Amino acid sequence: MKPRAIPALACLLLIAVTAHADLLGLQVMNRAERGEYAARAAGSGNRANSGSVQVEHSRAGRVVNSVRATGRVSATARGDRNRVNTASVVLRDSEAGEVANRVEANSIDNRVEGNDNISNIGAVVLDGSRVRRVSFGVRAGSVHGSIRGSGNRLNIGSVHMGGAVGGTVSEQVELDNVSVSVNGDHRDVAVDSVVIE
Amino acid sequence: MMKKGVLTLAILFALGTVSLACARPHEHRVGNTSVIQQTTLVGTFAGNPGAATQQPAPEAEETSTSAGSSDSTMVSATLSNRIERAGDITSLVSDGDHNQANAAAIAITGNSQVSGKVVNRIDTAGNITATVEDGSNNLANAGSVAIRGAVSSGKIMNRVGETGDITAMVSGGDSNQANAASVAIN
Repeated sequence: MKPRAIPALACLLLIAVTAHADLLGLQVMNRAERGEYAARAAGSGNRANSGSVQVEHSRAGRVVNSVRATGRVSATARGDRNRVNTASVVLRDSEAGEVANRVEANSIDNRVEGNDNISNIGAVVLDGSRVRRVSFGVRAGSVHGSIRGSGNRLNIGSVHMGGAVGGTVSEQVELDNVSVSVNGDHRDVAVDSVVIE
Repeated sequence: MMKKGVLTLAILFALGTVSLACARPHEHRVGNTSVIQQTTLVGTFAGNPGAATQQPAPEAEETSTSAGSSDSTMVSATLSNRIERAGDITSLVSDGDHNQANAAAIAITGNSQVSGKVVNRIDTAGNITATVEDGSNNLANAGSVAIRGAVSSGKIMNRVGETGDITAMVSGGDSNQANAASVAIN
């Protein structure tokens, strides 16, 4: 190679790398370790996030949520139209190249009372969003979920896509001692599942 | 020969600059970003907006950066919030409307556009709690990054380690939000 070609090649490489980095767009990373995690909502139209990432109306390159809890992870919603997220990633009307959610907990507990509530634990929810790759892992000793009322949704260790354009979904879920109790109408429960609507 | 090499290099550099300029969104700097040094705050907001009492937490070391709200705020700087060896971190909104309480958090509100690096890092042995009790359109952040507005590019990192319990709770009211050890971009 001629000596003058080296700086030219270096310049070309620099352009490619910087341009690519810019195209990656927003990078979101949330990492929480130890302790107990709880999200509770009562009333109406409220939101509670604990150890979670929630992105709306945005474009992201990479979204990573990593939670390692030595204790219990819990979410509780009481009332109507509440959104409760624990150790979850929720994208609404957004785009992302990659979404990764990794959760390790001793136990997971989720309770919903009322109407039209959505409660997510250790879940990835894509609502009207486009994601190229979803990787997802949940490990928990015991899991308990209960919903009472109508039109409630409970997602545990699941990927839920509503009106979403998704690419590859890979998941690894290890749950022991799962118990779910349901009461009411039009409820939707997903445990260790991929749901596409 | 040397001149040709330099010319080629200059052309390639110019092309690179133009391509980067095209790839990035145009930035119109309307608002400003404030950089302040402060201790950890335990904020309690009750009643009317602005009626706040704040107490410095003991043994807290923090560099906090927040952008105020305005009609349009362009945040392109690096925001860094780091807390070590603090006690319990609590954020509480009790009643009232349109209040905001932040503890160990970075909150950018208003019609914001963020393109820089936002880092919130907390290493504390205490508990982190964000609570909203009644009221409407309130926001409580504890150990979190909360952004309301458009986010175009950059890196947002929230890292919480070595903590006690982490709790986000809304115990009444309407359209409130509580974030604990979370990232919320609305």
